[in-house]
Amino acid sequence: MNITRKTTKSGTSLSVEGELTIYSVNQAKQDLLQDYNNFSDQVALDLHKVSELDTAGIQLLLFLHKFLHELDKKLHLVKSNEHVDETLAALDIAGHFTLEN
Amino acid sequence: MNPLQKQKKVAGKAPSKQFLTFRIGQEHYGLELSQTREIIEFGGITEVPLMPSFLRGVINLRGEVVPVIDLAIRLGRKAIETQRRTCIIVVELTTNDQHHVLGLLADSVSEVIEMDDDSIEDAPSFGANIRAEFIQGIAKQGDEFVVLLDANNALSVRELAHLVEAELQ
Amino acid sequence: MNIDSALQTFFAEAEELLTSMESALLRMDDGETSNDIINEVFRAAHTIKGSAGLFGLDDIVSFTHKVENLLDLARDEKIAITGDLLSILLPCRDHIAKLVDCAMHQVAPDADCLAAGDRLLQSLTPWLGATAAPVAAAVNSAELQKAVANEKDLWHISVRLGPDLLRNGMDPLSIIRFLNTMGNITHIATITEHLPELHDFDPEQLYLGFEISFQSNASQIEIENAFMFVRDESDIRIIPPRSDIQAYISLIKGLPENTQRLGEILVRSHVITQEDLDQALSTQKQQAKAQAHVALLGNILIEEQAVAPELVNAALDKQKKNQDRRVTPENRFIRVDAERLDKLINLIGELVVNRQRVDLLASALGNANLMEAVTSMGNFTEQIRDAALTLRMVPMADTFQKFKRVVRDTAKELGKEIELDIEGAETELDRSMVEKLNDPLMHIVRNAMDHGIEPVAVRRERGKPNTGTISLRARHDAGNIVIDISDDGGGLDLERIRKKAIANGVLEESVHLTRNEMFQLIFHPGLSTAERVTNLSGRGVGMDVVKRNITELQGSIEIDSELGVGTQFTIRLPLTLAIIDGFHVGAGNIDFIVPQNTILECVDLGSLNHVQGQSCVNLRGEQIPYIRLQELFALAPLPDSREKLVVVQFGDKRAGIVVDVLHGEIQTVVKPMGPIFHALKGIGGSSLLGTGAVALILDVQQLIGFAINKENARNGSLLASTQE
Repeated sequence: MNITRKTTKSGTSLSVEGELTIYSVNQAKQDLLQDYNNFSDQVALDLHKVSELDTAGIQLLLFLHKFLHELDKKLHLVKSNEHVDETLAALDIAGHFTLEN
Repeated sequence: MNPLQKQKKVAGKAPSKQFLTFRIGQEHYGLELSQTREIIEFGGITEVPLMPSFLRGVINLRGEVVPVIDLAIRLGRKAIETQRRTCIIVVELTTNDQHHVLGLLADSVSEVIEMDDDSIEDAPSFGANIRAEFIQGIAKQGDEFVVLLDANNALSVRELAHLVEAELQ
Repeated sequence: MNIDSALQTFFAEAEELLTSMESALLRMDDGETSNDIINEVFRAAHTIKGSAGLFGLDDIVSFTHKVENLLDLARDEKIAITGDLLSILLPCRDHIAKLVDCAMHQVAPDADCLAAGDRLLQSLTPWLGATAAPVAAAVNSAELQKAVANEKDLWHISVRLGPDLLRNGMDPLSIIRFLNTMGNITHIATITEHLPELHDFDPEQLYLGFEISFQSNASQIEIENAFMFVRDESDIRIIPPRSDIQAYISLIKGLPENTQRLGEILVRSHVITQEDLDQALSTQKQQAKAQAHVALLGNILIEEQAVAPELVNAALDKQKKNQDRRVTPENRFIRVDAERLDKLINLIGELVVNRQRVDLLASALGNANLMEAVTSMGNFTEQIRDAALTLRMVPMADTFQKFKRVVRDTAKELGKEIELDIEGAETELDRSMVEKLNDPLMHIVRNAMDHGIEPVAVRRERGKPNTGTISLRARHDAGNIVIDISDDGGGLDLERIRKKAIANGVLEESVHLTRNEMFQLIFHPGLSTAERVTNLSGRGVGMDVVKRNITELQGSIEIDSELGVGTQFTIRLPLTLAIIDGFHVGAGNIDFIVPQNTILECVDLGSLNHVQGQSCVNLRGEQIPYIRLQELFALAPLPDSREKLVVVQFGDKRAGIVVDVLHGEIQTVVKPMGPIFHALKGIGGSSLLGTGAVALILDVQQLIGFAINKENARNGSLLASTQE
């Protein structure tokens, strides 16, 4: 599991690669939140390289969203894949992360 | 079960083994302590008919029927003569998921020694008149040599069974 | 509930269900077409699918789901079960069994397996396509039906899961996917209120809850059961459709989160309307104003006579009653851990030995009262022993049932018409033997089918009915279980056997054998390896292996046959290997035990007439050959011994065993002697006496063989029976 962070003109982007599951969420939490104070206001979340997503992974993403929201930042899901879409849809969560929220 | 439990590997030290040493005639032998279960007094051996001389019989070990082997004969020595200190060493061997319990006759039991791999010498030139594969190595304790037995070979149940079969032909 | 042990239970139950599925399908093939039996198959598939869903075993769920749909159509009489359909359903059942097996061994089914499954499902489409009935949502699809459902038909499920759920290996997603196989989740809201602050957030802990609106025809119990493995640590509340508004109010109030938010969720999920919600809430407000305290929900409910208590109670307490889900329709059986049973039997064995000790000590003391008490205790010990041993017994039916399938499939394969007759399936034997009997029986049956039963044309020529019959019969006889396998096929050709034996160097040309001895040649390794080995589940076993398997079980196997008429194999096995009733005797200074059920009588040897020049006595006109234990085992003879003859029987053979002393009856625990003594003939195990000494249990069958051989040797027959 790999988290890549890039800061560009349009903002911070977080890209997750590999498994985002109970086995990797501890590490993922650390990696995702590293240096969060320097995140831009709009944070783009790219999940298209996520190979497996379970409830623990979703919970982490929900936490991230909530956490950033409290810092007046917005987390957007900008890129996804079929498995991620399916899993998010099972909990009807996709709406959580879109620009409308 | 916590699926997240990870196994930590502990870096090992150079292995040393403990051996139970015992006497047969004038010679000293040793068996890995991990394979010996207990030591009991000589007695209560029921003879089994038609068996070769190394198979003295069976004993009732708290409900388990355990064969008793005269180790002296097995090693090509003279049969053990019962006297006050004669005892039975109960060993437990595991080979290929098969579990065997045997009793060995010995003249007396000495002490437990600890040897690390470096202090154990190879068998070959010793000339103990024992089959090489029975011997794991030779250890020196003071002036004495202790022949450390390879129980899996010396007490190979398959071989013992074959010997019994041969005797019965 | 522990996931691992629950999973093990699932595999055990799945096995049973698959067996009964097969049995039911075969009965349908035989002509039983009642709705009950179709239901049986449906229920089995349904239960397997359901349980598999709980563990997230998606392969099993998706395949079984389709099969279940088809069976559902059948039980609704929308399609008929034809022979063609059965020929697909049986392999479907096999495929499910394969998938379960993969899951059990934690391997993914390989590409071939999956392709086979797809082909099977394809072949079901003609029947499935015929209907307009709606099919439940596909398992792997996470699409939620956003179509507005009739709000009156929605279940509402409120799920607050235990914090350690994720750590313990459960994932709520699998429950949600499973619910989708029982109906449609029309709306799901994830409760995120409980996500803590950064420094408190442990990503491995579960903070989420769910409010689910669910459209389904399932019963409340079925929905409750979806949460079976999490309910212990969780708070699950289920409100059935068409419940009164107060039920929802009490739910909202009962949940820890913000009332308004919960209300919004319920409205948004169309479970209740905004008006109903507002009205109910305002009722509460009014009442609160009227009274000094906020009316407890319970009071509102009671006053408005709104809701039945069980709704508020939700699933939790009631589910405890569902804990022991029975698989068999009769709830007479309980599942017992095999190890625990063995432990119990061992302890009883120790009890038996200890009882002997007490007996001896009591006799030595000579106190009449004590001896009476000890005898009475002894009686109970025997009863406990017998009762415990019966726990290990299983009926032959389980073993025989497999053969129905084998015979059906093989007959088709061979293009022959063969039917299987079963008798005495309720006869029981020790469970440790059942598995070991399987291969030998299978081989004999396959042999009968391959070589025994003739093709239809040949049978007609011989004036036999077109359909050949193989029969399996089991019964008890004097402490043994006797299994007959017979066929009405071509029988064994003794001449051919004899020629083959001579050709293979097993038999000398000049030697004359009795019929029995000739038949026994079949078991000779030299002979059976020459036979064509047919594909018996991939193994090539010969008759010699069959015999060895039987002998290892301390049993015997005999053959009788008539050319052109048929063949019969008779297998005899001791009923139990664990504890036997024995007769304690002595020879030399060794203790021996003769199994009581083999003993006919005991006589003073001196009082009998010997047959001239032979080890044989005349007992009321019958000639009984005997052997002396002291000679056989080269024991030091006892001086002044008044020898006794113990007359024993095994099968239909009799012989005598000469001993020095008769001690008496004892119950005894059989202890195996170990592989070192494997080659020792005449001894079948050891036993512990009350004195602590070890006694040797005689193998009566072998001893009879020795006695008879001595006789034959004297009579000039040069071929010793092939004793293993």
